[in-house]
Amino acid sequence: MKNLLYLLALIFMVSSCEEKMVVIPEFEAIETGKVVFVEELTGVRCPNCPAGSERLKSIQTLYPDNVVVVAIHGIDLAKPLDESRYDFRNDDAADLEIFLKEWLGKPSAYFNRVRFEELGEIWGNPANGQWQGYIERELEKEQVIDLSMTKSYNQETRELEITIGALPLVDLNGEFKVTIMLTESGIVDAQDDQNSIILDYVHNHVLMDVITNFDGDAFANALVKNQPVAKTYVYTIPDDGSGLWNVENLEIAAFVANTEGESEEILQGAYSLLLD
Amino acid sequence: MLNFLQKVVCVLLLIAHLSPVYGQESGILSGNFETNFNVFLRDSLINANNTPQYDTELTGGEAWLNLNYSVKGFNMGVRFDMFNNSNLLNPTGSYTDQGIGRWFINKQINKLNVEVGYIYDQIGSGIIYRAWESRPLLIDNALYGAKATYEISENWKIKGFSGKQKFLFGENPGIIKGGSIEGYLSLGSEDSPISLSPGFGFVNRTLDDETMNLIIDNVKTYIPSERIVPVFNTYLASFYNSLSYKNFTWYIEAAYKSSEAYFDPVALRTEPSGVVTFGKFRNEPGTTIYSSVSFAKGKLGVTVEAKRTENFDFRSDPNLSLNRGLVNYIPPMNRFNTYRMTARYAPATQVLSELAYQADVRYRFTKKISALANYSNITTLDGDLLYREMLGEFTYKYKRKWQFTGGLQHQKYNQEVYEVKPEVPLVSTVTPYIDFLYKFSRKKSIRFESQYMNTEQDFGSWIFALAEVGLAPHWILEASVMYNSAPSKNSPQDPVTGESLNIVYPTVGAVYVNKANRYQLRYVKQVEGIVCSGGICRLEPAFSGVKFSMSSNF
Repeated sequence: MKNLLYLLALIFMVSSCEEKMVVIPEFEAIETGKVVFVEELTGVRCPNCPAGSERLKSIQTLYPDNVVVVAIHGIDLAKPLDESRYDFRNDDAADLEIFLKEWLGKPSAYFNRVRFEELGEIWGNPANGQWQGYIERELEKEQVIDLSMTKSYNQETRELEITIGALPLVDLNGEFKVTIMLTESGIVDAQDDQNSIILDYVHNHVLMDVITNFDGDAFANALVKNQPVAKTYVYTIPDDGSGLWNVENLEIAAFVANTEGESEEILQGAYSLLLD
Repeated sequence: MLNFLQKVVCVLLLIAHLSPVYGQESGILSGNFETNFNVFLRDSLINANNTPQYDTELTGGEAWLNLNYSVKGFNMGVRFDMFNNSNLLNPTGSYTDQGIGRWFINKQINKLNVEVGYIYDQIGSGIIYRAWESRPLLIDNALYGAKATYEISENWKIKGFSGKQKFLFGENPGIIKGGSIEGYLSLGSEDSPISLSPGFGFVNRTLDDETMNLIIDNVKTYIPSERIVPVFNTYLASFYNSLSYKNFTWYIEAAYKSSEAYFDPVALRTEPSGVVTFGKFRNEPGTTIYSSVSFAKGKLGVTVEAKRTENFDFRSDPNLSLNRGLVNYIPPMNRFNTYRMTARYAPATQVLSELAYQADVRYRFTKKISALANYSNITTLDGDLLYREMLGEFTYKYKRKWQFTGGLQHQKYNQEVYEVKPEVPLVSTVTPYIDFLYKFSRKKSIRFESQYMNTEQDFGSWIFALAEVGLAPHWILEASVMYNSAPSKNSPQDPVTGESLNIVYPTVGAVYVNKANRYQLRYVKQVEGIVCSGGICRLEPAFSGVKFSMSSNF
């Protein structure tokens, strides 16, 4: 019994130890020209996805010029609800969802397609509370290229001509690919939420098509400081009468990635409204 | 250069090799081998598709080889684990790795027992600490560290341990340490003896800087009124006791967890824009109380259990979710069903808010006739129904020739909570079932099993039938069908017409047993469903393909 009392006293002493209080730092925006490309795996049947999308929206408010978001409605949990007007699925979204495995569940987000060591085998991060931290980790990295987007759009033919230009800020070797995606915002349609189906949910940055190959087109094998590289594409905006493909709400999201070896790391993203 | 694990294995093998030479004892070497091999046959109609195994890999599997050696008070062991395109870790993903999954050395030195390596253990019923392995869900939460147990007296022992929690072939970063003191007291008189088995346990988990930084990254995005201040150290304590008096046994365990940051997926979070979403870290203390009372006398057996859980999510890293990083284990509070249909809807333990109780009564009327009744009810602490089950069953045995079991089960299952499917109604089922075993001889038998699940929710109603032929001592042959007799809108649909389909999910298989070796080969088409192992559950996608498994003890 005496031993037991000693033990209890010891445990009480240990648990009474006070640790130094953790300090939660106030937000300080990182000033950089770097643009982080965020791919969000989502779906209209995903109850946790509205919270994820809202989180990304808040992060974009903090970093309006530094974060590009694309919402990929691929395969899982992406089948339209009975209440849905639209089907956001398409072949490119499905291909990307498969390409971006491993992921644990939806929503999962990718930040410049970097594989973070602490996530182990998982490429996509399902914890939306951590997303801002990961984006800031990417923003703190050195900006290595500047990406520009010039475009012209013909209202009558719905033809879009777009040129992606990269200005290297340092010398880089690798296999560089360019990817251009078309997304649409402001689509009002049904979405599962934790406890209900939101009938008038506003879907933003929905991936509509990938103008390049879904996993990118060859761009350069080496990027030399201050020597610009550009590539031009012509694309006709579909008009399928579904109510989607509203040019007023279409956006262009693009990035250049180094795909040498096992890397898929995006070096810089770019974003523009189609009618900007 | 050899790495640490390789060195350990070499030392183990060296000891095993040299001990017959230098010692007088030869020791005992034993072990077991287990393997699974799956062939994935894509069937997009039932959603058995869109995983790497169905798309490109086509096969996948796992293997475990466990070797144990005992000599001169030493017990030591090593286990090789292999995962090749395995879907156990993530049912929609693929996992490949191999290596030493476990090693340990244990030595008894008079009253002291010491153990190092990967250690499986628990305190009480596991509510504050349980390091365990569950292969169907690829949970392996062994403690990678050291443990010492000392016998204070004949009836009392004390233990302490410290280490990191194993995860696959590495460890989660937090340090887990704890201990317990357990004893045995005999009271009362010879005519009415009372025995007590009291215990007290204590666990402390300390986070590392990297884990804390991830929490801080998260918390700093909260609006000021919702911010919490996380702590590095979390403390848990539990008191438990088992009392036996004549035909009664009463077990009780009460546990407390100090405040720490834990993720609550249904807590309301306000974004800076004012939009309210779900899911954030909270910082509250937690409690769990569990008790069971059993009575057994003559033909009657009664067990009543109750449990209350509040804010008791305890992980080696609070950033982990689903089945990952669980340090403790809270016992489930529903009947363990074995038939395919009665087990289709199983409630996973809710660690943040749960009030549950269960009663089980068994009575043997005669040598031939026995019956049981079971009732379980699980709600949130706010009173929302999560799960309810009522089951009655009787068994008739005719000599040793045949046996008939019949029963009826009624379930209410909160699919919205357990499977996070919004606005779906409570699944309400009524499932009659029968099981008939006929023995032609001591070696030959046949068993029929059938269930009908009537429900209007989820996939609708089902019929299940199974025939199993036993040819002892070597063979068991089985064939079964699961038929979606009244499909609902969640059932697979015709891709053209959109109509829900009446799909048959067949299984055909054979088991061959030869001494301590068991081989099983099955063709399986299986609907998506909940898979539980030891009270931990997860939603598994549909499966289509061939499964081979083998186990061997030596």
